[in-house]
Amino acid sequence: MDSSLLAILQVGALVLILVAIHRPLGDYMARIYSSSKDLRVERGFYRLIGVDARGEQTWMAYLRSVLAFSLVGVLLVYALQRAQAILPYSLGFPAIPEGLSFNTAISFVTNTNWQSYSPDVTLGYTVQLAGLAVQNFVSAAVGIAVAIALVRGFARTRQGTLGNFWVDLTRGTLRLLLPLAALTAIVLIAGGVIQNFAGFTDVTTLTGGTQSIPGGPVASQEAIKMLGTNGGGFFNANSAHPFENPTGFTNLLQIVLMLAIPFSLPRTFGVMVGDKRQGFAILAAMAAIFVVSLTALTLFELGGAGTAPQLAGGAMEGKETRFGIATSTLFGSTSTLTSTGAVNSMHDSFTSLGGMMPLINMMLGEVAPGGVGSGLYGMLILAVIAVFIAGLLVGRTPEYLGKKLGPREIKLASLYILVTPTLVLAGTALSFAIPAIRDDVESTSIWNPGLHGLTEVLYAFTSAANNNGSAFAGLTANTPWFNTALGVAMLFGRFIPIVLVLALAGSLAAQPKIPSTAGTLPTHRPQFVGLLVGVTIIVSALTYFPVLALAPLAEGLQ
Amino acid sequence: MPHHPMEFSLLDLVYVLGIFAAFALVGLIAWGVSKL
Repeated sequence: MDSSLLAILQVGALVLILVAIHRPLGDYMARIYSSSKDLRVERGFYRLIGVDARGEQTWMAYLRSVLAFSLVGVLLVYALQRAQAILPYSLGFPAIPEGLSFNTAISFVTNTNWQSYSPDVTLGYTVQLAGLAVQNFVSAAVGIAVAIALVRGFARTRQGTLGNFWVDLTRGTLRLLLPLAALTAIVLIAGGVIQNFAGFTDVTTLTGGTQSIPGGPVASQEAIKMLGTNGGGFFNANSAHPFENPTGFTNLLQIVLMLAIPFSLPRTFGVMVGDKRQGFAILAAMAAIFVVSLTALTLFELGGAGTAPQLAGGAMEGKETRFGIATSTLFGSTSTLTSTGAVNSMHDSFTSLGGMMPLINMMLGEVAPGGVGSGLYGMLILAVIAVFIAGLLVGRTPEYLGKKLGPREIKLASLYILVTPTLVLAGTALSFAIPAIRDDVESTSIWNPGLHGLTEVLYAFTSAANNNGSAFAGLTANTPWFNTALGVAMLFGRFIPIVLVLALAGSLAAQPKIPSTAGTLPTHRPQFVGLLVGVTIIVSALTYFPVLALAPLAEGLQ
Repeated sequence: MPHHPMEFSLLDLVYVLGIFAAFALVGLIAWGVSKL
């Protein structure tokens, strides 16, 4: 089939599926987090951990629960990796070194899934399942819980509380992620993704050599890897590996899984604040950025300069021939516009301007549609900034959804948009500014010196601080500096924004609702959608343009 | 199956204390934010 026709059909199918699930899934999530009824299994779990399911939490108590739960998660995953040698089903693999254990534990608890190692030759089944897969579920549930807390902040009036974190975490895991992941894992198995505990199988090849074929519980990991916008692969090649993503069908399903919850959460938001049009405006802004970014990446890759790309009909280096260019760019855009970071092609091999697009997608703050939960709260923070800017332009006190945006709210939103760029730019700068680290980075980590090497380091910190996890694969990151610095960037890049989001939610929930007047900025019209898209792009462009000019743009102009 | 003794090192202590310190710093930031 003609490749451009195939691309159009694929995008068309994706849009149809997402439109079909947007409303039922969005409404279902609103019911999950608004229901006053607990399932029997949930009641048993609350008794076990000593939680009063009807007990409401202030923003500070909600945050304490998020941090305590995540701290225990990091320590558990760290301990599991360090004890791998004595765990069952470890396939004979030794303990993971300290620095790598630190990096990986933070990576999976923060929903980043950055992998400084080759999983198929490093991790046994116990660490993969009891450590990483568990975090794939609960880190996603934490992200959704925080977003729901912010939505409640907008929806509630004169209340000091935001709900109960333990209830939100349990319901998100048991009622949303587990059933959807179980169902899609079965579909993935039917589509050819492997699921076994076979370890390694030695086979004799046609030329008489021997080859060790890895097995493993891949489909069950793959479903939540995509659904929870986690992205950490069972194999080093991630979704480019034929056991992890064998066909065009599984590839499309994986893209749908990445987008299903993030594109449906605006509906949940609209339902919970009592005005579905508000959710639709947020969705429209997300979709607009998605379409523009995908189009740009696809055009850059189809128009790759040089003899080889022209003969191949585009830049095919690092892409699977079974997927082709448009399928690879659709996957790459989806993966970096959400916080997934899974890859079915090597982003390091994209053209220089094409490689800049995943970088920009992450620099936008992953809000189009973003990670599960984190995309919605990121976009709502930008909506607060957009309303504030509009208020400045017309000289009125800004208000959004009947809530006044005073100095405190604007300070919190402004701090939010400063956190990630600070981590990205400081991390990248420190990698080159400290002589001892610079020597190590240049001699050990960077495979491609010059401008491309700078892009690789910038990409690593952008991916870590935004909790994406995808990599420009030409960087050796399993070094003491990168394991530690990226670990710190992931941890602060996840939890400092969560502090600010929950503080904002608490501040909004305590406010009365102001009735809208003729002077209120309508936030459900195309005019506001345009403003929101503009603010999203301008905020990132102003922050990152200098470093983009130094790295991928300069390389593209060479 | 090769024998891999489980050994914990000083570096383990550094990283585990580092994890606690990082979360404590986030908590401190939250306290600062509550005073805004």
